[in-house]
Amino acid sequence: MNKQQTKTWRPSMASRMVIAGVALATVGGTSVVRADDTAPPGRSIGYAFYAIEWGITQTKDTKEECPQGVAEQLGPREQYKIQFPEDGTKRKFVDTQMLREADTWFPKAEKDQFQFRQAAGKTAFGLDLDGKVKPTDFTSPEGKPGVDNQLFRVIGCIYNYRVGGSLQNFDQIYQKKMGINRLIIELTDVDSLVNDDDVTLTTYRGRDPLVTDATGNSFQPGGTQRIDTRWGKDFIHSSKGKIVNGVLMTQPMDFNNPHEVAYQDAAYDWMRDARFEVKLTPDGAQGVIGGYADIEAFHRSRNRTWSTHHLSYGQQSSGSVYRELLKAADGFPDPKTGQNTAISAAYTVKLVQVRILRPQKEIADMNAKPATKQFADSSTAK
Amino acid sequence: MDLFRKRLISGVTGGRKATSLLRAGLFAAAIALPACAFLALPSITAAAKDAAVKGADAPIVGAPKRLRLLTTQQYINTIQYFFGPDIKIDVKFSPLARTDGLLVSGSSIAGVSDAQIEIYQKVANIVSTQVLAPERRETLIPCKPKNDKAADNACAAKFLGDVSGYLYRAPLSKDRLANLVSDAGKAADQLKDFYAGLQLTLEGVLMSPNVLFVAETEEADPKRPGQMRLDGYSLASRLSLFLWNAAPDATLRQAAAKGQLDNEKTRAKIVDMMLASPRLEAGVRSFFDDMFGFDDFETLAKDAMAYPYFLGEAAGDAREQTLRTVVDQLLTKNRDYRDLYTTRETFISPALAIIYGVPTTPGWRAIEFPPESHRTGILTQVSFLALHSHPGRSSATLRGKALRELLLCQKVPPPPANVDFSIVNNPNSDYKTARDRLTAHRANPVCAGCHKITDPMGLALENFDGAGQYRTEEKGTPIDPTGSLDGKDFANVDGLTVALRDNTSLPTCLVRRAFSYSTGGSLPLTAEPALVELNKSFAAEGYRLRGLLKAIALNPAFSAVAEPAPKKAAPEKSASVQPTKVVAANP
Repeated sequence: MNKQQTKTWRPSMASRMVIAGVALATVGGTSVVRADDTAPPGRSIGYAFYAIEWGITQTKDTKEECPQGVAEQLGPREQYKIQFPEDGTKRKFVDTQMLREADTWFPKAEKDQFQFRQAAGKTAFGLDLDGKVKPTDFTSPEGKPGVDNQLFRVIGCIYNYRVGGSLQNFDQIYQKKMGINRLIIELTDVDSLVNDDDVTLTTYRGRDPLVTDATGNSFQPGGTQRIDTRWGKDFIHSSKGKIVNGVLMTQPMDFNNPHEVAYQDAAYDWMRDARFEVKLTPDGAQGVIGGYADIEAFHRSRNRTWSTHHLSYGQQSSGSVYRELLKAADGFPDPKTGQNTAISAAYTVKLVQVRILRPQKEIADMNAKPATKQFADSSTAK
Repeated sequence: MDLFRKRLISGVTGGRKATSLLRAGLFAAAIALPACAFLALPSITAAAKDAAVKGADAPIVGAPKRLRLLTTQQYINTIQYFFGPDIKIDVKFSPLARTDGLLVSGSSIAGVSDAQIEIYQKVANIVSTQVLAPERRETLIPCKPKNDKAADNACAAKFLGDVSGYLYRAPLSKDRLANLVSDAGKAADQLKDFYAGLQLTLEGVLMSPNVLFVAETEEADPKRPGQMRLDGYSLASRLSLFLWNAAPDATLRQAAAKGQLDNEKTRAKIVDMMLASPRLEAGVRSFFDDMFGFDDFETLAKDAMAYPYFLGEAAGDAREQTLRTVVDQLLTKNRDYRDLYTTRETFISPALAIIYGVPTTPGWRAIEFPPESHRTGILTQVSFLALHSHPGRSSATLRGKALRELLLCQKVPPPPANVDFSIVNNPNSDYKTARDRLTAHRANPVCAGCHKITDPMGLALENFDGAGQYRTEEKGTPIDPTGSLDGKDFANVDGLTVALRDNTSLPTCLVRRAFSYSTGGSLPLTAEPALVELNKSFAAEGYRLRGLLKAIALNPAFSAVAEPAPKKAAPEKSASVQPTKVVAANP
């Protein structure tokens, strides 16, 4: 084991300044600074997600993205009133609530009978996934054109997904709180956190809680995450990438985001051809993940993990959203029907640095005998 | 002026028979102390050495008999060893005054306030209620009453006899036991509940001064006519509180009753039994917790903004880490005490792993820091580093002071009342590092004397911030960790720990503290010969803690009772004792 792997890594103040300064520079700029002293020990570094939410542009008055207002969106209760007006007609349970229940779980891909308010505007979080600038594309908040994020059109004006919505609120709480949602990444083959044209990113599910710092307001870098290789295999995916001016950009990969809230059933969202674009520091990372959200996984995940009343409070009609997703889908066409099965989307993400332990070898070594090799930081041994 | 200096000066100048030359010389030495030279505690004197080599013919002088208060942990251990660890006792008795480096020495000068009596009463109620709870009666009450709604004197006598004998640490007189049984019977009849009667009586026993105070009693020593020694039960208590931090068990009390503690061979067997007991760990933990001043952890606070990685669990875990290290190194592995200050083996928890910058698994785990980590010995553990720092910054001075006082038994005088701390306290100072600030601070000659004796070793610890995390820079400026300790220069903390390990005062300080702790109070100067002997045997056995504990427990001075100190020091004694070794301040 080399010395790099055994030392405790705290970048010098100078290196931190280099990282911070370069990370703020425009991606794709001309800087080619290579700060080898920013390489993490063992040439690898781990991060745990503590915030991951669908990228939705939200202006204060909503006029840009939802010119007709968010309140106009029809949720389950509003649709029920329209569908079954209180006009004295006697109706059976099976023809009303059961019908709605069936539409929630097994929606048909036919024209929706209700009006649906899509998000508008020109700005959205995300990445240019197809290398084209199309009329339906957005511009990123930083001004990059060609952003593919059709999911924003579908859910951008649904209160549940916006700040203050119960889904957005609880999603973020339980993302931090529940161990089953612990998603981590590991970067390996890292020669520099500032510029490196060949790194490898692997996603895992972790087994340990996030560590809150002494203020209670932030997450503390340096905690340990044990990789869940037994039950977390669905979350292990890998891709090559590069770091340019402190920003990590990866090639397309599958990305599964574990999703459980409020102690109900667990599920996960599946993003296909997902690409990371996140600013890296020794203590954390922040940015976006763009890709194509699988529509069936998205639909199943919302229904399994959310209660009916939360969908109602959040004005989210599952059947209508499903039909809108199919309409706006722009990726991964079904070979038989030609219907797109995925929709371009983006997550905004925040991560905190963690030390990664694999269960098989490293932990066995650690428990067998105290030794200096225990202190391998995020060991690269595969 | 500290107490010791006062004693020194009064002793020297007050001696009527001392020669004027000696008086003048010693007085001159005393007043010639630099304003901030540290004081070594009494060193081994020629008289003491002389007495030590005279052997059995010389008078054995131990500590005075004590009247001391049970500490919180002694009380808890005593209850739980007898009634079981599931008896929950969440209590903290009033803090004791740290005296001559030990809290336990404060127990022999403690009083009891009305508020403290209320606490004792509440705890007694909590304990007695749990002991007599229906689910525990089957195992804790040795008999069943004929009628559980009325008094049963025979059953009550059996329970109260066993319990009170243990809690009083001595057998009960028949009259006393009869009174207790009578009280239990009256209460049972009035409440129509046998167990309620026992519970009320047990509550009273637990509040008894005989339980809360350890009152040592003496008897004539037949082997040394004219001298006194502790009686058997007092000696059993002293042994048990020393090695187990709890009241003596039945075996020890039986040995006291049979006089086996007065016989060297049988006492040695009993001490061996005590050293082999799992309870020894509690005793050793308690001693080092006291010696290291870990009671300060109870009030330790760190600025969360300055040290966000010092999590809520970190303080408690840091204390536990060092105690685990002590037990592992000195008891489990029977290592040289001095190596405690250079070992890289320790234990970590998740909260500490963040400060140490290493990965870990949940719970405690044994680890060994790599050589390049600079984590060598307990000086470099979070406990020492964080405890002897300010809430928002490190302190070379506090660390140096703690090193001298806690580990080398030296006394660093407090700063003068009018000292100007503005340079070291200014967070926006132009001085980037602690060394820069202290250098500027020492430009004031009033400050220089003190800091010369603390800072050279404290600055070597500046690679660790106020929470104990390793760093190489302060405010972007590289830290210079060079320093010196008593004439030994070093480049960084690795050199400091080796210098400390090899410092002759390190083991002698442990001997002094351990012997003082074993007797439950400060040592009189007349105990010096015993210290000479103990230092010698400690060194001969390779500085093994078990050997030292045994040597103390078997030393005649451990059980001998010193005569009360005369109000005025006898001139001969004063003249023969050189009570301090003045070490020149480091240049």
